[in-house]
Amino acid sequence: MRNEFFLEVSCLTVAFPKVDGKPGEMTKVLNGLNLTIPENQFVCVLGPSGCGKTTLLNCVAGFQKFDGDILFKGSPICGPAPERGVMFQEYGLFPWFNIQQNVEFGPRMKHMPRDKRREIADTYIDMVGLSAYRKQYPNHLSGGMKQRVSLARVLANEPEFLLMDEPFAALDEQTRQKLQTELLNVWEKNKITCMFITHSISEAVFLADRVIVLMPNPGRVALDMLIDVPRMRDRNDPALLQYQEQISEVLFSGRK
Amino acid sequence: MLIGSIGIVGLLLIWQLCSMNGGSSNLLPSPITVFERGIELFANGTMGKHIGVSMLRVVKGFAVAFALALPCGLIIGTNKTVNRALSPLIELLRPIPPTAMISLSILWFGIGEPSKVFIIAWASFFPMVLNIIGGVQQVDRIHILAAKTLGAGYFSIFTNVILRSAVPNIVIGMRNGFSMAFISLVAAELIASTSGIGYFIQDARYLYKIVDVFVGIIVIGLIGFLINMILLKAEKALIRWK
Ligand SMILES: Nc1ncnc2c1ncn2[C@@H]1O[C@H](COP(=O)(O)OP(=O)(O)OP(=O)(O)O)[C@@H](O)[C@H]1O
Ligand SMILES: [Mg+2]
Repeated sequence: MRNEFFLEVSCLTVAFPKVDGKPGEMTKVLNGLNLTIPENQFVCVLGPSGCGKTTLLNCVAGFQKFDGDILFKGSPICGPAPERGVMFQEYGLFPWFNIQQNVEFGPRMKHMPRDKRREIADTYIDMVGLSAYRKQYPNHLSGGMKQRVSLARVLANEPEFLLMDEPFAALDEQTRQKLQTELLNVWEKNKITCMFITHSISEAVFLADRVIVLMPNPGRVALDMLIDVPRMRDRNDPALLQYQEQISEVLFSGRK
Repeated sequence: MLIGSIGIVGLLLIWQLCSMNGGSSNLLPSPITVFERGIELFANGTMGKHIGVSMLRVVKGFAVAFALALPCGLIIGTNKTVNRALSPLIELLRPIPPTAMISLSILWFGIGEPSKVFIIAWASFFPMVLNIIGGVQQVDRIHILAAKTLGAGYFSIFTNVILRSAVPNIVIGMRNGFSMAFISLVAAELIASTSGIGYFIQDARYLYKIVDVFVGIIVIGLIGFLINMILLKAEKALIRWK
């Protein structure tokens, strides 16, 4: 049975101290945001820079204090947990561990035996095409490669809910498309739920079951739309292009 | 390598010239005399014995200091309240030079080995504890968050993230601490010693063996130089990931 209330966000409000403001002055980055995500849905979040996408993701991940309620499978979120895997905008790889050790970290925390966790790590490192770099340290890799390691690491931990903050922004088009496909495979196979932040409308409509557009000042849902196109999708499907147009209309209307 | 030796060769030349013009004065023996005497002292085992004794002291003092600095640094660095409570104390004690502690050390520990180890430990403790505190404090929040989302508990975060990210600073602290231990050695050996390089230099002064004074000073310089090189290599190997 698919859980229709996998994630329930209600009245989510986050305020930060105003830049150059008097002490105590706050800006609301998110104001009374409501959002329900059913299990196994792939949700893409779009919105102009600074509208609060990362802030929303941080709240769900358990990194950020907030007002309102966030229920994950019926229970309130308190802090980060391995059931909610996060792919960070700034990678977040451990520089003192090599690629393999980074990817193995989650399984190691679960006290998985060495052989087993090595096997899992190898599978995902292979998947992101970095087998040759297993023993390298993150600081010796390019931005795109780090992002791939970061994907392998979060997948190796087998989360139920995968939170991704512009994961493919730094990649070349070829790698991006390859990883999009891999991500969809894992998503389908492991029955995970995804919240995926991106700035690319075409990426959003290709990946998502549902696209949410946030608009700033304060951050609110300006568009919430299901992408009703069967998978595997063709990137040039005219139906996807139509969805793209609808989304850009909303995105750009606020920016005159 | 070549260019680096210009200064050394230059100094040796000037030294040689000065010692030749000094004529009958015994205050500045020529580098060749010093070198020959050095060979002699090494060959008959005297110098080796003194170096051994001194190095053992340095290592003991350093080990004591490190054993104290590591837990102190880790606790102070991870706990804001402890940090605020103890930082002023550290800042107050830190500027007291090891030589100023000699009298106290003799009163507390007598004139045997322990007082010398205390002086050396005192000198090397502060650079280590400060570097360890700094290292622990500069851990990146994102790494702690990442570890938490991957299921790490407090202990795992401490060993896999906080400690690991502090390693470069800990190693730098150890190198500084070791230099300080070595620098304070001569001060420590001012306390009623019968062996050690510091003692050797002092003894040579009492007996007016000016050549031996030079040999002792140069040996200290060379050992310090060598140790620093070794520690720099170790540092590089330990933080390959940087
Ligand atoms: N820790 C913080 N302290 C103060 N203000 C913050 C903090 N984090 C975010 N903000 C502010 O909140 C707003 C939203 O930030 P957020 O990072 O969520 O935006 P975003 O939608 O992810 O943008 P981008 O697309 O550029 O990543 C911004 O105006 C930012 O200045
Ligand atoms: Mg962001």
